[in-house]
Amino acid sequence: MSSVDLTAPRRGLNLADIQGNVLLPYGKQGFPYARYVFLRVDPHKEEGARKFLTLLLPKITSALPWDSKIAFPDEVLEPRPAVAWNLAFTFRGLYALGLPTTTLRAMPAEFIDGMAARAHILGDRPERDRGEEQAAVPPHWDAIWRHAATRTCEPSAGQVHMLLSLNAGFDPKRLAPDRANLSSLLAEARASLEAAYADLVGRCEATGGAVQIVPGHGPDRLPYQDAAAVCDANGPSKREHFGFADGFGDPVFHGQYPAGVIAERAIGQGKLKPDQTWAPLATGEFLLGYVDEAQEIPGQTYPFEFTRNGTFMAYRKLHENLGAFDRWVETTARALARHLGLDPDADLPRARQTLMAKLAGRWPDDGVPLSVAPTWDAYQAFRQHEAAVEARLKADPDDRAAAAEKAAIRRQYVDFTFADDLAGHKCPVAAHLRRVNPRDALDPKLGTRDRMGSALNNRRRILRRGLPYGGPDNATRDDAGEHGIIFMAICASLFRQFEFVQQQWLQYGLDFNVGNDTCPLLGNHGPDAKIVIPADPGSDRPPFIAARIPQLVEVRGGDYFFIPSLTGLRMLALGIVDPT
Amino acid sequence: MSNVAGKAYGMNVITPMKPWKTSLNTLIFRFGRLNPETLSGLLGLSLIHFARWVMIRRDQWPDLGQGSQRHLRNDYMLFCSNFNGTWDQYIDAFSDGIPNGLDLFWYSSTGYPHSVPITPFKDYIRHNQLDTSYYYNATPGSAQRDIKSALRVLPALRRLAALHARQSPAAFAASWRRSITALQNDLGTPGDAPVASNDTREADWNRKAAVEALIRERASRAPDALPPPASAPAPKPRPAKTTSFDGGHYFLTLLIPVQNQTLVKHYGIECSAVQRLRDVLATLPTALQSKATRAIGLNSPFARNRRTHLARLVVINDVQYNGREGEGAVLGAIKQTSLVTPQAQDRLSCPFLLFAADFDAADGSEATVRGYLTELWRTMEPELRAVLENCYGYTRIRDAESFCDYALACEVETTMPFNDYWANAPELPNRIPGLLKRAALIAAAALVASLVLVHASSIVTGALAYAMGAAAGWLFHRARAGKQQQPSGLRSAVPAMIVGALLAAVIAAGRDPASLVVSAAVALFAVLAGRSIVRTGREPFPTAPDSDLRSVLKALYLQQQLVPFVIDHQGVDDAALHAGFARFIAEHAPDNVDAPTQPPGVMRSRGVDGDRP
Ligand code: HEM
Repeated sequence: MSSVDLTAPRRGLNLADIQGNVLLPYGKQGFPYARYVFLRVDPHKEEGARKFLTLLLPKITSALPWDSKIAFPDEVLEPRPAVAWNLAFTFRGLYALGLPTTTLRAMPAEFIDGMAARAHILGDRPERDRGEEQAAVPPHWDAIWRHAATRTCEPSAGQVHMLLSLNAGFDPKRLAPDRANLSSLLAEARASLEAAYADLVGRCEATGGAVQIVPGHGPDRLPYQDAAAVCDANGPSKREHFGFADGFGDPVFHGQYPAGVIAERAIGQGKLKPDQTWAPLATGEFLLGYVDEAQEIPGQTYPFEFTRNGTFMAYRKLHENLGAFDRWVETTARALARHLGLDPDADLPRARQTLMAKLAGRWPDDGVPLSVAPTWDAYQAFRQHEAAVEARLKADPDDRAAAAEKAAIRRQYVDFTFADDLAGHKCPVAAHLRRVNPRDALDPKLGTRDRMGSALNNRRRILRRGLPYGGPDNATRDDAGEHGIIFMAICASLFRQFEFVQQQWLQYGLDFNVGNDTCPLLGNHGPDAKIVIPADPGSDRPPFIAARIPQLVEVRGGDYFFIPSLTGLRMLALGIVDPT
Repeated sequence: MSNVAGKAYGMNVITPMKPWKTSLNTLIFRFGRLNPETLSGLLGLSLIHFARWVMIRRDQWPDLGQGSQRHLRNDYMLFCSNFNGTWDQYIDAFSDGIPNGLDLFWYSSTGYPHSVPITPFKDYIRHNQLDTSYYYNATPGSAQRDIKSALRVLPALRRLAALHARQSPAAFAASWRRSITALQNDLGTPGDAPVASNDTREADWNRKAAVEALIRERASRAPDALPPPASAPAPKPRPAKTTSFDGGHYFLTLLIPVQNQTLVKHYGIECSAVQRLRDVLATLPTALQSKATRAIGLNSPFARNRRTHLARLVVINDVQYNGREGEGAVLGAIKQTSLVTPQAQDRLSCPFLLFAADFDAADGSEATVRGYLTELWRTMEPELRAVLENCYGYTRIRDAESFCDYALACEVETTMPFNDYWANAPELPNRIPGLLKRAALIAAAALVASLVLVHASSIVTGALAYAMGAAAGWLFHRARAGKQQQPSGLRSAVPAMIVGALLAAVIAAGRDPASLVVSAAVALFAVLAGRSIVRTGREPFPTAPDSDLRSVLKALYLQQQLVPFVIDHQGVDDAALHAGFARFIAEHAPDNVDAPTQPPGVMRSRGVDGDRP
């Protein structure tokens, strides 16, 4: 990072204008609980709906920081809210709110379609059989989505128009060193979430039907979708229900952090330049109205004031078949143990963790990347080193050398590339992590002198937001229970970024040379679903094919949303969006 | 109409260029072939089965008596590609991955906006793109990367079969482990492509009823006769070495004029021939490449031969206009150009039907092309007739022989063919031996630089004189030729150039005789270098091993048999593996390229649509 980055914007982002869920994930900032409430606008009571928005405006949480560590030099620090409120709209929601035709018709096609209509593209339903008529909405979707896909634009009854997300947490600084007050802090956070929800319900009732909550989540058809970090003995954890530590990879883009911080944060999370150093991605990949990685401000609808600082989001409820997962991992881990010359019983935990790591690309317990610690022994060494450094720091918090080592270890969690592992014997080419963010693996000139870094990947990045759902202490690890991940992807173009990753990289394998093999975790799994776990060419052991993977994840519904800026929200609330 | 056939997308882009630039661009292509490094980006992307660039000069549009296209103001460059993935993905990959190479190849196209930033580039491509009316893919379930993988499996299995015959179970198991490790990233599964779009998917299903109706109707219909053409097509001279042949494949390009003078009968309706042609092409059975086409159940007529990798038919209704050509405000002001007076625009005098096919061939000779065309005629005469009866000169076709004559009269040479079925990155010969090239270049550059410095003023004077002479010659020529006819291309400029050169020579010789020698040497060097590039650039690349369709199909078949075999034999002992592989060889015969194998035009050898693989 010696030279000055000439593409860096000369000016910070207007954080007060950007909604808070865009810039950073709440889950990482001490908000373990979320409630997603979907609202419908009565198109005949547009005025009442706008009044609702006007009254809601002061509640909406912006991206202004409350943590001085990542604050821009002259930035105001916001007081940390107990509950973060954020608002987003479907296309039909904007239509119901009376947006001008000129503005609506220049919206992206996939946003106009909505998620249910894109089911065949996303792999959310199988191709129909000869003579079969398919319902407009994929089967197994929660009842709330049953009016989602329709050929008419007329907003019909029961349609989802807005998503209000409430995220609740507590200030980590209030946690006592011995963590004794953890459960009371968590209870407090839950209570503030309930209070916020009650507030919202009251606001909706006050509109006299102009804005209504659309119920229909899960088998009990609840009026909201709850989500929460999976808790273990230490409180909220990074793990999702299968057992993978999650939430490491998250793109870093210009303007997200102040100058002093961003260069460091871009390592492993931004883009890899041809000179093999890392730089933040272009702002326009994640916010509308800015230059993107194609060196242009992509076309967008008018007026620009309405879209600038806004962005798009895919909301998906991904059900996890925990029973099928546990059973398949158990039998396959035994086969893998035999393959590796281990004892299928005594070494089962080791084989299970190795198998899970090869599926995801990270060791499940703590997320150590396979690219950094490819073997069990390397992984154990990594952990021991990490523990030793932690111990030194605990003994002497001012140990500078240990602090530097800890920073270096933390960087290793994201700072890796695949150039030295093209065959995938460290991290399989078809592992989840390598599919969703191939880093430099797709560089067409990888073997040559003029490498291109992550050029072919830079316009496919997504910001992941969301949390697991199904209760923090889900004990019934069966397929039927309500558990999974509320997955949200934020990007400037759902078509180019989210849908591409979902369709071409998760549900297909061309770019990784695996034909139609899909992602071992997320993909649709037919009878021949498999992942090849490559062998080290130097060893005499052949690759292991983990075959007959059952269906592990199923979609239960979702939609595409526009997340306006606070300016955009105000324009909507006032009804002054005017492209003339 | 569909640009999609399984995992392949058929793109056709036709762009205008000023005729004087055509030769220059051809030179760039030839140079690209001399120096395969320029293609490394394209090879690295690994997205393309076959692609081609075809320079269509104004006088090259076939004339079967319907009239020539010499009235056009532009030459045209036709680009046809068979790539994998969606349109946007492909253009993005080009723009992100090999932007510079792309700019070079489209260098001469009028209005080309450069490949970065992306939006104007995409707009330009889409504006000049012709949709594929009919598209056939012999391997719809496998992308180019999948084929390359299978082509690594094929020789490995043949080697293993040979080893199996002579190795003990333990030794064979060791060979097996080594081979499977070498193949570990070549064990993918073929299958349906991800849907290109909702619209493609729906059109695919909606078309089904029409295809089925037409199949019934066609069985009972006699083709309409057309009036005979005004004159018989003249046989075209073929270059000794055609660039339509490359790497064991022939890149056939036919431009067939479509009848546009009388109405024809179609379903009892009077319509134009081009309307009927579009209808015929839209309903011609494609490969069994999706659930909808498998529900129709009838394979493409092209699947009746085992030589055609890909084929397409495209109705070129007309060439595309890219809007008024700008010339710069200052120049416009000097010339007093009226911006409100429309510029002349190109129109073809009739539509053309493009037929482009990539087929296996031993060489580029006329006999080889006739052999292929004869096979087509033999296996799909009714379908060819249904297409060609809409074209000029159709009544000349009586049998296979006259069909070949007809097709050859419509052939245009492919300028730049591209295919990459190299299982392992090829060591393509760099035809300009590196050291020699560099030494020669440095020496020449040094010589030129020093001489130019010494004789700078004379050369400048000479050049000025040349320009003046050329201008004078040009004006003279124009005055003489009058305005009835547009002089065509470089040839018309020759007299002007001679006059200019004479004038320059006289003036320069008077000032500084040495500069004349230097200039002549430089010019000679340029001409010789250009000629040698053009000549060497015509040489075909070597043939990639097993890149013929029969071997490709066998490779795909074997790969699909191998994967379940590997899974079933994980962890078995050496004896069981040895015995199992004996059965594998007996059943799947790796050495027999023709049986058992995968037929052309299907998704995969087995396990389609839910039946267990
Ligand atoms: C039940 C569903 C899913 C599970 C269990 C899951 C699991 C994981 C895990 C364990 C990681 C590694 C942790 C990390 O790097 O942060 C990860 C990373 C990631 N996942 Fe998923 N995932 C799921 C769904 C998805 C979907 C639907 C997408 C995209 C369409 C996606 C995109 C990503 C991305 C972009 C990363 C970060 C990779 C990086 O930056 O290196 N995931 N996921």
